Amino acid sequence: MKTKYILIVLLFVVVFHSCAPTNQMALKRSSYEDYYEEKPACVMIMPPMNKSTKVEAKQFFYVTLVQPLVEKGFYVVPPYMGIEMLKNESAYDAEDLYGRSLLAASTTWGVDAVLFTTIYDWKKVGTGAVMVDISYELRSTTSNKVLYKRRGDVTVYMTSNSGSILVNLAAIALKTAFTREISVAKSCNVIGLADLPYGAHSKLYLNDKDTPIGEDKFSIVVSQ
Amino acid sequence: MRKVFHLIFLVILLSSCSSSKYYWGSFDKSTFKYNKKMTPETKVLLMDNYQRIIGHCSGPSSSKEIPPGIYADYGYMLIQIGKVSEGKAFLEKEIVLYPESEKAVNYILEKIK
Repeated sequence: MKTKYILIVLLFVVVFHSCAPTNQMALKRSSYEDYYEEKPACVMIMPPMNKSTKVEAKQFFYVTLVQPLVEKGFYVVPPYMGIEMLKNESAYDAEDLYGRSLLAASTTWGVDAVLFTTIYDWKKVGTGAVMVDISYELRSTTSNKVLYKRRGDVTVYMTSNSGSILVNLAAIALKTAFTREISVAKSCNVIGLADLPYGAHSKLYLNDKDTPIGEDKFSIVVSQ
Repeated sequence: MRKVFHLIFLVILLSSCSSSKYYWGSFDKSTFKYNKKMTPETKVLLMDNYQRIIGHCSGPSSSKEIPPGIYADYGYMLIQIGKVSEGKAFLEKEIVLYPESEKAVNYILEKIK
């Protein structure tokens, strides 16, 4: 029921967000050529680079990146083991690794690609809404090529679907801050990784090349 | 037109998220709590969730699969609390289920020798 509600709201939001026609529809096959050539199977998620003032954003995003990547068909180095591996090799800080060779991750751990996430901004907007400016970059450990990249801002409105405004506001307030903030991070990750080609454990693996993709930079409003 | 296609894809994506082939338990909450404050208590919560996921997916009537990484993380934590043979068994299960994990799991096994 909740999923249906989210989908209906998304329908209204995205359809009316921009009706500007485009002459060309970019497809996954042309935009992610390097991805389809390299076919990364094992992905390591780096702790996000947090440039926002929301200290906990780093953890909110880190823990909620695992599921969408796995659901897309990738093997993801699990978070507990992954953090220990990074600390063992003094590679925990994404800021130190970003832009440098990642070959050691391939030779040492069998990791094919590393996901870097940067949180530029996390701020409250209006009542019960949060706007996050975030980017995702999947980089090959062997060729160092960028296999996938997107940046955008996601505004998440927390809503309640009762008929009463007072009840709705109370329900939003009662939802713990943790639940709300985790939901925000989750929504951003699902949206930010939506155009990522499917991995080997998905039925759509290598069969999604003719799927059109969104702009490199997106702006979207969701309600949940 | 591009927006419409993107929307349709997003709808399909979100629909598929609601019918995952995996069972996650309270993965986000337990992982967040541990990563925020790495204490023995939060580690127990994390292990409890992994046990729950494994138990749920191993049940005779379960239609869900173990997500990638669960056996590996759980096995590694078991080894760290002294349950070495039990932990190694889970790590080996991870490699069988997800062969692309072999190098990462072997790295961990080498470190704990």
